Amino acid sequence: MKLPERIIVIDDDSINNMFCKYIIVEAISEKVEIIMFTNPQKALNYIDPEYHRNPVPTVIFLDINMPVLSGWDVLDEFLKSDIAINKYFKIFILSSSVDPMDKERAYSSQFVKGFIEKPLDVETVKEICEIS
Amino acid sequence: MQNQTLIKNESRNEVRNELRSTGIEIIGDTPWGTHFCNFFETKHDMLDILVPFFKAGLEHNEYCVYITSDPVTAKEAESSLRNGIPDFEKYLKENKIEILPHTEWYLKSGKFDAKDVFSCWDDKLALAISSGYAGLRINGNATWLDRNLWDTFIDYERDLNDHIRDRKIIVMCTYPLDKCIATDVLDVAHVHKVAIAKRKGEWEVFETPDTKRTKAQILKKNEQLSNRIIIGTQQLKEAGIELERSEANLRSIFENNGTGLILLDPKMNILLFNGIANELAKVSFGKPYIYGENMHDLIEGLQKEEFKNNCDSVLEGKQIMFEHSYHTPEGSVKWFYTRMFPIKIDDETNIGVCISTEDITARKNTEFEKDKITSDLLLRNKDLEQFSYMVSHNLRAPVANIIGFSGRVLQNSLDDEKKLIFIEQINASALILDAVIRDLNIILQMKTDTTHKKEEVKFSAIVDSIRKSIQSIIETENAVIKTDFTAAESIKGNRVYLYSIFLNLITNSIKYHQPGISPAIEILTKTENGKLYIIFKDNGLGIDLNKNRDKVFRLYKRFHPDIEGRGMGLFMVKNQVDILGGKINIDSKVNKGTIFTIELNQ
Repeated sequence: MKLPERIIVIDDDSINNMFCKYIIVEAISEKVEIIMFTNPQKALNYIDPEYHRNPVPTVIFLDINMPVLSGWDVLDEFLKSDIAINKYFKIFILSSSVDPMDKERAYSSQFVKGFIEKPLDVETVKEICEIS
Repeated sequence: MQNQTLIKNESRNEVRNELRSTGIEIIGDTPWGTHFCNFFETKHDMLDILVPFFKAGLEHNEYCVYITSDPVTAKEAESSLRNGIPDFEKYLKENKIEILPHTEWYLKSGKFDAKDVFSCWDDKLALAISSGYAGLRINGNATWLDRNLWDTFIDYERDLNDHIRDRKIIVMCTYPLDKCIATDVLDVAHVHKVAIAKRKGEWEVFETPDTKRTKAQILKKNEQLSNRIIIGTQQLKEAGIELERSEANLRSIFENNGTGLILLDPKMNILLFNGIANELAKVSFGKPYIYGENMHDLIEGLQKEEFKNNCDSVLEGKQIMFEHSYHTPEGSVKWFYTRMFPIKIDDETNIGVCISTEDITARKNTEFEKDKITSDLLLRNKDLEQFSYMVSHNLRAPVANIIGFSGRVLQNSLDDEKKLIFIEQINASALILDAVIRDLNIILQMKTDTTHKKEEVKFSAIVDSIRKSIQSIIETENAVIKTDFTAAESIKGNRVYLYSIFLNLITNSIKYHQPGISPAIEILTKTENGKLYIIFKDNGLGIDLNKNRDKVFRLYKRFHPDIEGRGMGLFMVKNQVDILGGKINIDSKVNKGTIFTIELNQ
């Protein structure tokens, strides 16, 4: 399987983003582009033109609980998008939530490939990237 | 033929029903056709009877015939009548009375013949009626009678009864007692309707078997009747007692069933009311009810017409029920349940309206309390959901970071530089965790703060106090706060919450102002329908309500990510307004401004 060329982390919690970066780097020795967004709107603003122009296989780690746009809102935006989301993206919910309702809701989305409880760890990243 | 019979029957009834005065006290009034006899002992006794007998006949327009016999001559008879009857001379002159010796009546043809005598009766009667008399009154004296004629005469007397039955004739026969033996008296008495005797001034009544029987029957009837009357009276008395008793029972129910009751006639006049109804009247109309007063007249305003319509429907057989409330002068609210229903005497007839009014304040208050508990529980439930969400996300997020970084630090492979960075992250996460716990504490404290001390809070005092506390920010941002509290200067409420609400909304307006535009805040009050409204207007960034209406007051929701904030302010405002028993509404346009309207009970 092909490695993702890009990993996008969308979470308002910058400490988590920093942690994710360390974990991903540790897990994947090959070169992979890592982009962090603390504002989901900015993530959407980046994805739309970029994946029209130059789509690459991408993994997204998406947080749920964010103050302006939640992870669910981001998924709703993807629904409206004309980009072939499932073709280019493997989307994982990365949340501190231990609420089963959140998991259920996550898996009910056609785009979500998995639900990861924070903190992210090296094994999970390896697993995701080898499969994908 | 038939007609004639009918007329005959009618006139016969008339004859039988018409009563004539006999003039003799002991007999009294008697119908036409009466044939009675009188025994006398002395001449004086006989005249004593004849005088009142003829006097009554003459005075009542009857043609009188007096047939005398020994020992009284026609002359004697005439003079005794003259003495006893005041207008006798006049009657005699007008030929209203005729006095004949027995020879010219009974023995006209020389010997006694009943047939001749009957035809004499008939001729006299016809003459009397045609002359305008009411009828014929006759006295015949039997002193002349010979023993050999006795049986014939008794037969005649018996036949006379039948002969005069339906004729306007009254006959009195007089017999001398001294000439009669005991069986004679019985014979005579038997053939007359009534037999009387005057002996030495004293009256006696001989009764015939007929009259005895009749009298016995009458007595029996009387007895039965009086028995019936006694039983009837007893029954009536018992019924009366029963009625009294059931009325007492009904009245006791009427008075003591805890419900106000009023009975109205179809014209809405008050027929009956009980004590409770009267107490309610004093409360609603300021005066007690008066029997006969018109209920419709007592009611004023819009309810007047409604009441009449209700009564009309009730009289048509409908039942009307409604709940209504009333504010007592002491300031509490009383609730009543009123039923109006017809008073029926049968399935189809309604004779009035019954109004029953029950005080349901206690039940109503329990209901309100239940409703409040339910809505409180719903609110509490929502709080719990939010709380659970908060625990899952906001509390666990920094914990996850601490777990993650501390786990890395424990790996020996890390260099010191990285270790330090990681420890710094752990520390930062701990601080965030602490902040969330502090938020939680504030929220929980607010929710559990049951000492909602109510006091008169002046809005201008709150704003002045806030101006001072955030003076430096106001100056830095060049903010202007205009207030107009003329409509309502103050409210009775919790000062701490009101202060917090004002502070959050004012600082929000300053914090989220449009770049390059100085914040201008307007706060004003107004009152409407017993509600007090506090309105906050600003010219700030605004919130896109199309996307965020349901999130505005949620915990940790933020709408301007570039401006620092915790997402606590509006959440707190909403909760505090809730605790004050009010509502908050937002109206906002992006880059125009926001209006918050708080509705509170005055």
